Amino acid sequence: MARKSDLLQGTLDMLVLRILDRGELHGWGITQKLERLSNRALIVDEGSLYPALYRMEEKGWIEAEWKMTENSRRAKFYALTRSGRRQLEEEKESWERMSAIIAQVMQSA
Amino acid sequence: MNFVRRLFRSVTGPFRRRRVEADMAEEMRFHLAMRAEEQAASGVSAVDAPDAALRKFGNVARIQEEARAQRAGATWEQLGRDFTLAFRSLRKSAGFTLTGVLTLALGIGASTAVFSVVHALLVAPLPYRQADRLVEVISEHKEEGMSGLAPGTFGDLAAGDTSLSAVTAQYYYYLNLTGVEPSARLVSADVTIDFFKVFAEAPWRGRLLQPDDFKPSAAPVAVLSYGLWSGQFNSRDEIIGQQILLDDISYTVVGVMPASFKDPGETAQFWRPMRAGVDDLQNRSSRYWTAYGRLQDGATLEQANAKLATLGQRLAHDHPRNYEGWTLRASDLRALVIGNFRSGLLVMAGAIGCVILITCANLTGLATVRALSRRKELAIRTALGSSRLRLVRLLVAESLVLALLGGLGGVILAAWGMQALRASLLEAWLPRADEIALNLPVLFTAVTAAVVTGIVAGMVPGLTAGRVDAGDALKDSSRGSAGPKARRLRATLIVTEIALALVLLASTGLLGRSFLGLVHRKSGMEAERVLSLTISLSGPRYNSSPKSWSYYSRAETAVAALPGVEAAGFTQTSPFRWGIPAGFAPIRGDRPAAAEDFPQAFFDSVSIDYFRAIGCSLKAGRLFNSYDDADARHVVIISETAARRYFGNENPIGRLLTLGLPSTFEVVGVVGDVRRSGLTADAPLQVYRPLAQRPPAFATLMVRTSVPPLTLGRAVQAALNRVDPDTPVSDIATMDSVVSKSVTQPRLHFLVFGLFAGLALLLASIGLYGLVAYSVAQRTREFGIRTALGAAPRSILSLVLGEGLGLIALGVAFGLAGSLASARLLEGLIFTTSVHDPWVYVGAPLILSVIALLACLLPARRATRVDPIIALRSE
Repeated sequence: MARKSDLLQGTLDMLVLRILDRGELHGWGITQKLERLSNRALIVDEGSLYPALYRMEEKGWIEAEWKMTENSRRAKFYALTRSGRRQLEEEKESWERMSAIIAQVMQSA
Repeated sequence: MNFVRRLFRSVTGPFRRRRVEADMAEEMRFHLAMRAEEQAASGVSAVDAPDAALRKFGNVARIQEEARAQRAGATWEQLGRDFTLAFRSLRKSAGFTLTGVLTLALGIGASTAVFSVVHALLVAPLPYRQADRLVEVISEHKEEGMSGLAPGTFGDLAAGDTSLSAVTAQYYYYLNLTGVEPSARLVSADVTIDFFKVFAEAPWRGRLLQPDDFKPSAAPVAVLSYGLWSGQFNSRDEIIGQQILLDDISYTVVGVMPASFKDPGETAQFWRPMRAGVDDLQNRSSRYWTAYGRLQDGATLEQANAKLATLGQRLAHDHPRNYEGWTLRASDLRALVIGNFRSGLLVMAGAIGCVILITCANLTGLATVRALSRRKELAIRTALGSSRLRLVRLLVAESLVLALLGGLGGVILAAWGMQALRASLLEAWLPRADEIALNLPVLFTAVTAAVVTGIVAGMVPGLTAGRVDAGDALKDSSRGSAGPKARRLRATLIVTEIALALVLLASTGLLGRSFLGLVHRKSGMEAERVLSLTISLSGPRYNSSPKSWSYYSRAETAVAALPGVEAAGFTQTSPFRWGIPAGFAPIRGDRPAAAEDFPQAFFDSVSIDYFRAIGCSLKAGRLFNSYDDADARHVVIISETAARRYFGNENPIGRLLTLGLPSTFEVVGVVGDVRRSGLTADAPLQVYRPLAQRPPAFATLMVRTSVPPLTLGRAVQAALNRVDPDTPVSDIATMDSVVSKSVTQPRLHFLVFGLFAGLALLLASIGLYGLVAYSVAQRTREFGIRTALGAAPRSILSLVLGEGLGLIALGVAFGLAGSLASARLLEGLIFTTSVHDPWVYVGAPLILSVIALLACLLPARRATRVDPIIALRSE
């Protein structure tokens, strides 16, 4: 099980925002989707996910609503807000800039 | 926008809590259910699937706890919960709480009471503008231990290059205030022109002294102190501009100073322009002035000192006869204000530190035991998802609650203790005594000390006991045994407490022995039956010796005739107050010996009955009689020490002394020694001459009574008023109180250290008791087994005592080393014994060990009474 320290600080937030950008989803769905999209390379620890979700909800990046799932269970669905979308853009930009720099350093060194 | 939203959520947070909790629980349930379905799909049996899901999920409670912590306002909410929990658990263990609060209250209370004294004298700024720029300029002769500034020196100082922006000088003068009821003797500070420039103070009413007031032709004016204005003049505003009669000369009151502004020597009641002395600027031999200066902006005390040293050397070079051996320096004004109290105050500050340390150690010990006995509770909290930080926070919150309660109790105790301390020193003189108070800085320090003590006491066991392995602690027997780490910590704390307590106890022993030695020293007088009061004769009515002499003899006769009075006699200067030094030399053959070879003697004019009044006995020759009058040959009576120093083993009667030929004094009698400068100093050489041959302008009347002296105060005053209503009486006091005033400092030190040592002993004993009691409780089963297997009570007793004894021995060893090392600091405070007094270094450890052993014995005896059957069943 990947510990939360294994993910770069703040990266989890970005990944979750990115997944929610495609549509609202519940906590369980987020873990599943993260695993699938990363070809099971990333296994998200629930112990990190829920605190992150609550933190982002507090910051107003996402908002939650209780809805029914396709197999009719009640689940808490998270959706991106406008400020969450803005946050995602910012994080994406800085991530791309950062990874470009790192890549450059790693290649040239 | 975002901020507003966060603010809104953090305010509404507590109200939404129930919903949020329910949401969170349901969300987790959903997650687990989905996980279980996934497990089931991958082949895990339907029965095991939920458990497997839970295992994969981890500690639900902890995740919830972390999720909760993300919510806005969560920090405050948690803090609130920590404190609620702390209050609840403290209330449940009343014994611990009470001991802790009492420990803190006593420690903080005692140290705060003493700190209020130290603070007022040593820390609080002096009540002057930019007080740190003020200095006293001191002219001193180190070898002879003399100091004082000659008027001539002041002239050079004012004109010279000194790093001082302004200098002023003053001397005190006694004047009689008459024409009002009651008349009074007042003390003025006669100041030079720049006095108020140096002190940079504004008047409370009216104006300050102005340059014009110092012109020889100017009308006499005076600026009153607040104390004089509010006392003698009943705070009347009309007094400004009015005339008052001082020594029969009319002065205009031009101003009143604020209450905060006091004469640095706390003596003068008003200020007037110096007149007489200004003519004296050529005088380089009478050193009766005191000089103050203000440092120039940017100048340091070191720079000023360097320049003053240069000036001093120049003076010694230009006027070797006057300045040989004399140096000039500047000193912080505080040194003048608190005088020789300084070293004692520093030592007291150190003792305060010791007491705070002991209090802290004791509280930490208590908190450690409590944390240990709560291991199981803490383990359950950990298992239920409490993080380590959270546990430490809980323990710190408990200690903080304890600290604040203890601090509050401490402040109450301090207020009471300070009153007691002040009351016990009221008779004696303490500089800045009216500034001793539980003011804000003192209270702030007390609360800070309490809070820091609380945090330390909570943190230390929190960090050790917080490291609880849930499994171990829960598997353990119900009591939970102390880990070796916690044991060592407690043992260290106890050893520290014992060592510090011993340092305080040994210091108390030294100070106490010295103080008791002082109190039993002979003053040379029978002071307990003597009333003393001072009068000064002024104005044209007393402008000649015969006129003064007539007052003295009439006054003496009038007082001696009162019922209850056995004898009454005048002396120019009063022992234990002040004296006039003079350099006598005996005449050998027909030539005087060199005066430099003899210590300075005190020279006094006394009336015939003076010796009888103070109870000083004749050793050889005769006392004065009525034939020793103004026209008779000059005679003197000398003290035993003076006789020995001047004449060795020869018979002094009939021999001659001189202050410089041609005039000589014939020795007619020898009397017992009388101490002069306090009980701490040896009796000096003393030469008395008859009052009739040189009646002084002021004198002290000593009245020997057959009844308690103060009951005669009013009658004596009335009798003197009948002799001359315009000669006021002042300083009415029993000689006993004057003598005991001279041991104010030793008494203060003994009192403070005694208080501290008692407290330290108490705290160390409580700590030791707690430690041994805890270890006995821990080993109940072991003792039960031992008893069942036939161990005698005695062997169990020695088993338990052995542990305590080891700690005591270690503490005593460290404490002895500490006492010997710190004894040096007491050097200047010990008078009648040495700082290496063996009795103290044997007695103090003995007392401490006995008390500490008793503290161990109580719980140890309980160990011997363990009933094996109950003990074995108890677990």
